[in-house]
Amino acid sequence: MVAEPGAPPVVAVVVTCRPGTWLEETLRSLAAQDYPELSVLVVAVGDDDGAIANRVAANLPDAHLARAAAGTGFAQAANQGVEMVEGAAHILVCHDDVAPVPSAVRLLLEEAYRSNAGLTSPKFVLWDAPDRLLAVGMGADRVGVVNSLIEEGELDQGQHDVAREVFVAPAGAVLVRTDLWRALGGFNPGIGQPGEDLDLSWRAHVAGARVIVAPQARVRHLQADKKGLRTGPAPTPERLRAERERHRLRTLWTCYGFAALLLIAPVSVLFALTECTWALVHRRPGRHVLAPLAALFGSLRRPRELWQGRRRTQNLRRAGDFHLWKLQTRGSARFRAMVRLRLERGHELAWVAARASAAPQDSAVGPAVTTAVGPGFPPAAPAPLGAVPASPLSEGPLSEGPLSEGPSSEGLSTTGSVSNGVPNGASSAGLHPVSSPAGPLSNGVSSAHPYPATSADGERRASAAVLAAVRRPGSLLSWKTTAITCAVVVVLLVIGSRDVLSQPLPLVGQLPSLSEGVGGWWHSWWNGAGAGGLSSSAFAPPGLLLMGVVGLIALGSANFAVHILVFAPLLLGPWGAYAQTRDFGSQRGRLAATILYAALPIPFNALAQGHWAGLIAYAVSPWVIGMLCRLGARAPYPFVPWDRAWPRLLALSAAVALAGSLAPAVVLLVPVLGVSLLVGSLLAGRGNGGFRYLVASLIGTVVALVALAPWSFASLGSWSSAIGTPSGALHALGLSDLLRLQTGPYGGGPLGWAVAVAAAIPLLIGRSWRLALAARLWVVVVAFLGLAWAGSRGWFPVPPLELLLAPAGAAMVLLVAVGATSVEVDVPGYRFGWRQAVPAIGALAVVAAALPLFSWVGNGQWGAPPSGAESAFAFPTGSQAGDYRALWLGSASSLPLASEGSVDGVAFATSLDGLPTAAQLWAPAPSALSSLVAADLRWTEQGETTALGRLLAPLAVRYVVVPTGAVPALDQLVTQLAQQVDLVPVGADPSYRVFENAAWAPLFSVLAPNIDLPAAGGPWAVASILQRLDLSADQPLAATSSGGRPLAVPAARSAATGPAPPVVVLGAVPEGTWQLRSGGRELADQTVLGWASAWALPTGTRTVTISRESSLGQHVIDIVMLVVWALALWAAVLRLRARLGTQLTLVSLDAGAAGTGVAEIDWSRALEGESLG
Amino acid sequence: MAEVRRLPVVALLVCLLVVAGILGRPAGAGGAQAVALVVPTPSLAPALALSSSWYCAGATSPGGTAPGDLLVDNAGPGPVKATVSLVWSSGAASQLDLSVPSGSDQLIPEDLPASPFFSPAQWVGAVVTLFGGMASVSQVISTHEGSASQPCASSTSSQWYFPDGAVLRNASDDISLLNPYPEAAVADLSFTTELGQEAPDAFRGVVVPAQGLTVLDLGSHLRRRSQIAVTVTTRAGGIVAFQTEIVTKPPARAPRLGTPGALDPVLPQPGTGLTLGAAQPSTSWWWPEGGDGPGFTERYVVYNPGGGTAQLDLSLVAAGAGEGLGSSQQLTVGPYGTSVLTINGQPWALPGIAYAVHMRSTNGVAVVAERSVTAGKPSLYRGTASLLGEAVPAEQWLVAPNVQVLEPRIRLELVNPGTRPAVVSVESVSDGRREPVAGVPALVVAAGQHGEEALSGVDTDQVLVVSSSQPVLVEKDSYAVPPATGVSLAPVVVLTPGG
Repeated sequence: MVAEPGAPPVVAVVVTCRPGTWLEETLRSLAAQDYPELSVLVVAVGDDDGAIANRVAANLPDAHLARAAAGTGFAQAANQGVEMVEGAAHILVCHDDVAPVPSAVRLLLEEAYRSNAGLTSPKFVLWDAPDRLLAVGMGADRVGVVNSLIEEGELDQGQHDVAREVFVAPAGAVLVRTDLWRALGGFNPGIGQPGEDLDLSWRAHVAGARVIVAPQARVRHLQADKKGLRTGPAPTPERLRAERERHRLRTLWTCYGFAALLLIAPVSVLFALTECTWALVHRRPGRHVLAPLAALFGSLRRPRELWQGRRRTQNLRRAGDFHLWKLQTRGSARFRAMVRLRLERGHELAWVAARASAAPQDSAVGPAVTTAVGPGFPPAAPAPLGAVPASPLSEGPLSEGPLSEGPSSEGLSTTGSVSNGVPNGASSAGLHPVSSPAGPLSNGVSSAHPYPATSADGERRASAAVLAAVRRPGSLLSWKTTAITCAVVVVLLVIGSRDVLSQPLPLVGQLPSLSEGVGGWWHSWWNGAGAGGLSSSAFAPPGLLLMGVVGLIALGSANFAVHILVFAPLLLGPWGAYAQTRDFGSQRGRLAATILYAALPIPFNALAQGHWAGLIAYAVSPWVIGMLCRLGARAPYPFVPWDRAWPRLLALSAAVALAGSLAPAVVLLVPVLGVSLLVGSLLAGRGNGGFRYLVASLIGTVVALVALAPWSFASLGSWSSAIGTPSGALHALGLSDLLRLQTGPYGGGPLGWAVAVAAAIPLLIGRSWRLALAARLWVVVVAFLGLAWAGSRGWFPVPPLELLLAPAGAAMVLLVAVGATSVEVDVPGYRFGWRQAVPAIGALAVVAAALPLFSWVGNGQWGAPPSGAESAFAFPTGSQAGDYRALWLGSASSLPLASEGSVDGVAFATSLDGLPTAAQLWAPAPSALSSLVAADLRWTEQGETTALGRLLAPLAVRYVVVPTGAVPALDQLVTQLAQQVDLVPVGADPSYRVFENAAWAPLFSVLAPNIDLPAAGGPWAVASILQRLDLSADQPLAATSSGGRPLAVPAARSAATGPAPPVVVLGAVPEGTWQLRSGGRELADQTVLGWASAWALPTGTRTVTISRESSLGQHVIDIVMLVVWALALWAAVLRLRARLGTQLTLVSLDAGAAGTGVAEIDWSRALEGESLG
Repeated sequence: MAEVRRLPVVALLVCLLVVAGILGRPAGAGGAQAVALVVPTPSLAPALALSSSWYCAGATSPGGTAPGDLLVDNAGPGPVKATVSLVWSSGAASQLDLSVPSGSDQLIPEDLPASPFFSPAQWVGAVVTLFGGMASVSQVISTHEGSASQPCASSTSSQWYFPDGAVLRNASDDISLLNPYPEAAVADLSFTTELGQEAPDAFRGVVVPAQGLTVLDLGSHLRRRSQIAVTVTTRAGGIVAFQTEIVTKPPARAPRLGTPGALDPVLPQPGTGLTLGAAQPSTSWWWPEGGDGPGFTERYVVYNPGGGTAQLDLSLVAAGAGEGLGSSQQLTVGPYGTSVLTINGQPWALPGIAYAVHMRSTNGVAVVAERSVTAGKPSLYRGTASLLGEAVPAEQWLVAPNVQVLEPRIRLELVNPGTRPAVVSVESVSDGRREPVAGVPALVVAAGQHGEEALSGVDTDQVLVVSSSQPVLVEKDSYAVPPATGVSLAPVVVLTPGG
């Protein structure tokens, strides 16, 4: 070195502890600095044997050496080292695993003077791949979570080479003005490694100093601590994580002013609670659920020291917190990391699969990693990866992510991205192969398709082509685009739901009722639906249990739970479209499918008409179709033999069971899907293996039915319970309506055709597997459109039409995604012609199909009426004049409960004391009472009675409620209802016609003395007797509202002549379903009218108790069902976790980063996951 | 592996879509299947019906101006039980149970039990509940000016229309409103007279008590009106409305209606009319019988209760093919207006020829129309009668016995509105069995033409059933032979709806 007079002296303080072989390179790089006034002070921690001193002497004889006691942390050692320095204007504090380029110190100092920086940070690059960036300064959000400002591992092309102000200067190497260091007191002794750099930088900001990054000064960083390269004991990742959290929070308490702290402290507590909740849901080995809270409380330890540190920092304050906020990252760095991690995981998996598919074709795949070394660097030595112990899996997005940490802190302590149990050297740089064009290319894999898209091998081998297509730049979109698109969709859905999100949902159609509350749902599940229905199902529907669970998640708020149950499908559906198109190889296609599925009119028409089943089908359709296609094991999906397909079958069955528990008809759609896919295969000439679709669908259906047992077998035994009651011709849909999926007020008009246009693209231009898949999916579309077409004409009973159109809509958007792949893969292979216009047409169609959504959000409640059945009539409580039933008439889809029968297309059902309960959303098995009501209504409709009220009186029907305008056939019935001399029109809601039965008798009543009911008889004979009987004089017994308490028996009126007749209690319930006790003794019931219960009371009876028969067996079976579900869930979670681990292992192994241990790749498994054969 | 086949896939899908499009067009355009409207024409409940209710009004107790009787006819296979609930305008009520054997009838006078609290002369209504089907209830009123019979209503409605009425020095017009339901009904009456539209406050918000009767004398607020069309609308509930018209013998020197300059004219011919209102307007009305001979005056009164102008075509349909189709006449009725068309003397009339009359709206505006007949010298008969048009053809009709009414000159007038000839036969019902009536041969009515079946000499005290191979419309006309007076035109009760 040649002394240059006037140059300010700089001292490099190198803290080293149990260094590996990299120390020599560090020392040599310092020795090679071209800055003349540089001195080096090596602080050796625990160098009792002098080994470090010897190595320093051998490599940098001019260096000074200081020793620190073993166990001294980096921060303390650095402080001690700086204390020994005198006369230096700047200090370069650095780790022992950094290697600055020869000009680094000079450039840092120049930038420090140029920018008047207090702290100056170099640009960190990978030790082994200096052309890859590690960090160019760091950012931090307002709660102190550090985030990288670049893509870790991205190619350094000078894109970040602008000196700028950053919030955190990583501690790997930082140039500090000496006076500032002294003023700050160096590193905070209470906040050691990791997190000391955040604290130092923050305090520097508070003191008014600038923190600048000088990208021209490059430093290679090994991250020895992070990679576990140091010998001796090392803190576990969990401990490091906890320490980092604690130090982060302590920095907050220290650096924020009082006012800002009032705001930030609750936010931090909320964050901690949220992270605990997240950890609770996403349990992983080695992660403690309460760790965030523990860190929160741990940050408050040693309060005296905390207070002193805070006072010292605040005394230095020259910059306000508001000013500092501008320097910090907006939003939550952790949340962004979570979103980014999830979005990129699919890309990574696809890329790994592409690598796997390309491997047999290219023998160059392997350790042929070339390491480009930048100018000024000596040839890089390979990192000693072989001895690296496994580090745990990434801890999830809320705790850590690849972007939330950098080479900062200890420079070494971050756990990397998604690697688990793999050498970490592969992780940091190579986890973004999709966005990194140098990934597979550098490994020698050609970017050209390994298989031509028109390969004669067809589908199976073509899967490799599509997977390779993922790599093509044209198919790539940044995760930001994905995130922004998804955010826009979510925001639109939220805006469109604004009016109903803030208030209780109206009781429209079969939307779940919240009148009973969450407790009521649990009660109904445990005890059954009650006496409202005409039949009592032996087993409660599992959907009620699911509602109860959601109610618990909603913290007991039935309103919140109902909103979740109703509006979650709006997100689940598009999510399914996004998830199930990941194998197609076109990111644009995925986004288009997601957007279009969100913009389909199906869910909004379902919402407008209260068709919850339609919403459920909308949510589950893309998932089920995708799962079935995957189980079909045809390209682009990987081939999985049957013996290893059971997890997927289980997942399919679970999805079907969950959806079927809420909308039973969904279960029966799955075989239709299987048949359609089989037919599509045959149609496309790919019949071989097409039976897998059918077999998978049948297995999924059967397993789902078993999973829902015993309810499924008890209640779904009848067609009407599963599908619905015959509704006649509801609203005959034309072809135009069908193809536009328009079943209600929402539809795109002419723009509604755009989805079909976009879906037709793969059929016209697709080749290979894309054409085959398009054929299958189009058959699905046609099959379900045909079902809806025929069902709307009353050819057979159908559920709400949205339930049938949802699979068609899902298949259409999957077709759009396939079409995007075809555009990217197939169109270039055609000669110039009309096909070259297809991309533009497709793009226009997608945009056109999505446009209507923007107009639909204006409504605010998706067309749902402001009020529903709850406003039809002010139904009195049952305790006033006795319990009663309300008879609901209308189309099956317009009733607020599941129909229990139908007459000429008019469905009916009954509820207790007014509005129906949530338990009545599921149709019970048909009962004898249903046929009685059907007969009564049929007589009425045909004009064969004018006293319907008397016929319905023994059924305790007090009100007949008819939603208007639903079924044409209803007009005839309503007209006849108006002719009944004992039905009185009441109510003022024009949407409902309500008749009060002037002849009604309560559910339980003391029979008037002069009434003599026949024991049995044919329906007509009984009805002819009932026509002449007046039961309205019966005395009510409010049994259901008594809670099992004794009821006073009204005094029986004396007969005109003769002895007093016996007091008879009439129960409008099927015989044997209720118990009546008098004086603690159960009375035997008698059957009257052929179905009703009657009890003759002993003379002098004053009180009775009436209760429902309990079924111990039912409860036992319910519990068994719960246990089986829990076990199945547990097994599925274990299996899923294992599979997830496997996939992530593949990803990490094949990350393509420099230094990746390719020998670790389990190629056989990767190949097995493909269809190569 | 072979290349994926594109053409079969595309071709099949296109074919399916085309087929679906073709098949979907009719249903898509037509929407749901057509549902028959319930026309409150008096019609019988089916044989196995549990119950049917009949509502009668417009009569008075024997001490009143139009004493009435109820006639229960049973054409069913077995006896039918019935409950007759009589309600009086004073609010009193009584109930009577009875049983009517198959094939017979029972006459129940609408009498008031003797009571010091009630006036013996009261309007009366009846709700007859029959516990079975195939039985009907009709009502007969008899005054000094003649008798009139009318089937009772088998259904209620919220609207009723009466096209023709008059309140003059010798003509009274009363509207009876019967509410059979357990909740009160509120009705509004509005009128179209020769003076224009009128809606006196006294006829607004009329409360018809639950299971009660309200009778409104139009003469209390509408006087010296020779043409009154009435619309009854309920705000809540359903009712039945009957019109009772009584024209007494005019003073000797009083100016007749139609005399130029007459200030207080009178109707020239006495008579009695009992009319069940039309529950809804229609675009097509039929009258099976028409004719204007010497002494007969026939006129058609058309009331347009809607807001659009009705363009109408009135056709006279002659009986035989050789006599031609007669002729037709165009008619225009303004919104809420009435129009009267007198056949006599018109150049397009068919004097001396029996015909049926068909009125149809050519522009789709529905109207209500009534045929009014006045018989006087030089005709053999005396009296007046009116009949609302019929709109719904049927294949079987129940002809009530001609109890107490007039004289045995009974004729069944038929018209076949269809396109195929109808073979019509008349049967009597006895012990649940139907037997051809002796002396009444089967009649073939050509398509679109008029037919007539004379029942003279037939035992008219038995229940008769008119059966036709095609849906037809039937009317029963009765003419009193002097010295008795009276003419009665009555619809026949529909047994089996058709057409």
